[in-house]
Amino acid sequence: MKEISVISGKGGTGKTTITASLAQLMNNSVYADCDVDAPNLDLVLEPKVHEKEAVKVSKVAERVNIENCIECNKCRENCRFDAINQDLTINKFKCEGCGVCQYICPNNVIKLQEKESGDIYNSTTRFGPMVYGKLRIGEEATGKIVDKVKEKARKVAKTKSKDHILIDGSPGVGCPVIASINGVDHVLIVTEPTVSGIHDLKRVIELTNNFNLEKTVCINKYDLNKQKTKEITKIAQKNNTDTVKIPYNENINKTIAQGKTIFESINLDTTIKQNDLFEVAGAIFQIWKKIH
Amino acid sequence: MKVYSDEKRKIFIHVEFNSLRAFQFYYEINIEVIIMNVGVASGKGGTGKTTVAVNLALSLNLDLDLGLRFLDCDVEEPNSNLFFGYELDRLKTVEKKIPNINYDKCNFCKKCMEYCEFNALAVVPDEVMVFDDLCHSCGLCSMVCPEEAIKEKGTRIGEIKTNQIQKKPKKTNEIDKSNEKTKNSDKSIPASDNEIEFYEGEMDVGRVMSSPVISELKKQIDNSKLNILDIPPGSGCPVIEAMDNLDYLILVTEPTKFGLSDLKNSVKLAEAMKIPHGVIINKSQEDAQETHKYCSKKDIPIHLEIPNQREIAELYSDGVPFITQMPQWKKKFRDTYSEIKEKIEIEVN
Repeated sequence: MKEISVISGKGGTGKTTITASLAQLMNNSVYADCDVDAPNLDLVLEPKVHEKEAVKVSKVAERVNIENCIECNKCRENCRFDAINQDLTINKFKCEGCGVCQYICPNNVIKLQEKESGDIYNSTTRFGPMVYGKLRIGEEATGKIVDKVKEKARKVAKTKSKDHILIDGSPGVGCPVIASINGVDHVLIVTEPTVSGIHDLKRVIELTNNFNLEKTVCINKYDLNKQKTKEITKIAQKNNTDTVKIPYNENINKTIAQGKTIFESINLDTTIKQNDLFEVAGAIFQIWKKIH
Repeated sequence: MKVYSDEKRKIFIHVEFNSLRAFQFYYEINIEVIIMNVGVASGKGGTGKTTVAVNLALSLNLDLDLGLRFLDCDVEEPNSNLFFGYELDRLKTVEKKIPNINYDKCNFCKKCMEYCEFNALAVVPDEVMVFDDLCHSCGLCSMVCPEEAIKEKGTRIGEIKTNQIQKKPKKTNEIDKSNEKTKNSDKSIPASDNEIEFYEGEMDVGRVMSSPVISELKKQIDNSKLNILDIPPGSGCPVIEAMDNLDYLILVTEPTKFGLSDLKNSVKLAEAMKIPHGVIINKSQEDAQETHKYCSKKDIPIHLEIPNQREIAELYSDGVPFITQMPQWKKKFRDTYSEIKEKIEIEVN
């Protein structure tokens, strides 16, 4: 079984759009949306959910024996996250669940409680099984939820003996990204020829180099700025990485709005110039060959 | 007599006679210039947060009496300065505290490991392993250690940079810097000497936790000025850290299925954190009705729509803030600011 993760550094470069189209090409795969902050793959693949499971991966402090509180303020003084207000109530957004207040409280007023940080969905799409996670609003622990999504996806892949797991990652270089590339076989980095795209690409390549992973760079909207595209190609060559180019196309958004992949839009949608779509589809086909 | 304001909207009046403090009182009034911290955020990445934040700052910079400070809180991928092109120097490194074991005292009782909620410590027969990246720097391990064998030490996770350290005259023909950088600064410097006070945080690659870098950066907020904050994408912990204590949020979205779905998340977060908010639609075209419908249903103002134009996209790709080439947009951004200011004033009253 091979695991492929799609990441980008900069957001909005086209990870999900490309992942959705790749999903159609990769038969016998499990799809996993690990962008748990803002999962979007489900908007295109429109899965039928048959199992939803709340994830309890973190804790939060709660005042359970308020009547015992002697207002000694020790909890507030020792909390390093400013999570305890002047009136000794707990700010749940700021609490990281470390347990210092529980330990320091002389009267056992505060107890750490498990909390639900997100949900994991097990579902089926028209291309195969899909697992995705959603962070509850204002929760932390993104990395841990990503780990759970991957764990679940691996289980599904094993029981249904699938060949691949295709993972839609999140932007940035932080905790959820590291979680979504940890242990995979191939990373597809989607970038765009803009100053920000290049800046973030360098950081994300540096990150993947730490993991010693096989990777491919995809330059989306490459014809928007050919100078910058050249620069990206050079960066990729320096890192022994192949590049694939996808042309800029204003109509791609339309296909997404209809919940269709690029391959599905070809021939079906007559309002879009077919030639344009063929070019994009061809490029995605090339990516598929590279990562396959 | 001294008059000064505290972090929000209170005015302190402090009277001294012959260096003997007579009395001090504060009076809550409506200050004419409302001090505010405005965040530019979006649930989805790549919708144009940085574009909006940078162009807004450059549009306002010259006609604000109060001065302006810009903080790039997207510390995983700080991009704003690619558009400003300022010369940055390191203000400070950001460290986080991690446990440091004194093996002369440690008796491997495992108490630290048992108490740590983040599994950041593992005690093996003759070693205590510390996993930096899992540690939240809460200090519990050093509190529970019966032998007082744990002291904390700092470990670097990023740095804060600014253009405020030395005011050198700007060099336009720098050769020794990398090509990319020189090109940017040629193009993107605003046509004035009035540099915006710029601060950015940058997390080191390979580090996991960006929140401490953001909280360190936010110490640079100057409450006598308008602060514009570029917030990281998403709705996770770094976002909450960056949004904490803001007066207003501009939510940038794009009129796609993805954009709308993520906008809804951002609105939920803003509501939960009780921060007043409005929307700017970027890359707008005919299909923005869904976003309009949603906003009017929720009674969220749409401050501005930036069209989906190849020209803007191309300027962006070269690192040029589009108002420098399309000055007619300056007024629109200024109007947006006035709208926001009015809204906050109403909110305060």
